[in-house]
Amino acid sequence: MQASRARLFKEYKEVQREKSADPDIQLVCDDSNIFKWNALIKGPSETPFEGGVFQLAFSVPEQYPLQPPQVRFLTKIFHPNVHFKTGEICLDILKNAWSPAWTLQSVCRAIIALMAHPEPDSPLNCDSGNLLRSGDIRGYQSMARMYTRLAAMPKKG
Amino acid sequence: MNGGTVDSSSSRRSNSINFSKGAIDDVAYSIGLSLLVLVVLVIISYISYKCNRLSSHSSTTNFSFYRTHDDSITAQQLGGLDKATLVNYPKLLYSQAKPHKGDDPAASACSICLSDYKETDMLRLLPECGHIFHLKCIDPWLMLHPTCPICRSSPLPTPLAEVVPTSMHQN
Repeated sequence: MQASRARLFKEYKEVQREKSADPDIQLVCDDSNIFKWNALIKGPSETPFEGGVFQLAFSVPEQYPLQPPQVRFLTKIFHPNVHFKTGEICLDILKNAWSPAWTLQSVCRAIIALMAHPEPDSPLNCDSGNLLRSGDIRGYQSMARMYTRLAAMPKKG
Repeated sequence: MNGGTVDSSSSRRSNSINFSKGAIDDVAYSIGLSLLVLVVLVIISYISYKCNRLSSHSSTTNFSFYRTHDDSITAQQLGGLDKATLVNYPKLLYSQAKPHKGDDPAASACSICLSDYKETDMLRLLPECGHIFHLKCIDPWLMLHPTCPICRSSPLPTPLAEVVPTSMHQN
């Protein structure tokens, strides 16, 4: 408990110190609870998520960093490895490939990498996975782009 | 003569009754046996299904993204190191380790608690990969997972540890 708090405080200070280090990630800790974090990540370029800003919710367990944080998308996203309704993310490093050397910041980077490189063979969103698996890249991209516009872009006007 | 026929017919009747009773026993026996075989088959197939699921979960590469929903079981299956193995790994003070590590950035702060090492901090050196961590940080991790947090190599010197990563790359 004390170790996880100390470690999260270190990460908090690191995030404050290097705010501009990674312009694609904006990581914010809850004012009253260091175990709750939010992140805004930019959709990677040359993907259907380009131009979108996606919100992630982190829930950090007391055994952190021995156990991974729980992360989910709050912004709706059409991606094979993200549950369309709950925002649950299927990513090995958040499950049994976790290592305590990962940080919340590096988890954000891994999620951005997952957005650019979907893994359709282990889908949480079967519709999205099936489009990719059947080779319909255009179909996948236009669906993903549509949801990026609908959910992840600020409304104009 | 008359009595004889009665006797023979009655004995024949009792024979036929005995015979049909034996047939019913046989049928019941064979049904029971086949049910038993069926149950055993179901159990075997269930176990092999479970094992396949577990092995497919554990055989994945570092950068493949996949779905696990029973990772707690997988973690237990992987198994950590026991205390007896851990105490055999070299431990040293940071002041002793510093000259060997030079200016390696991973060697000035513990990647588990993210704190800089102090001269008097007790460290654990992983024998296979040479990475160092605070003793109090790495030991609880190794008791859960037998892998180095930085490079994922196993500190176990057995060849079995080498087999796991190679099978990972095949998937």
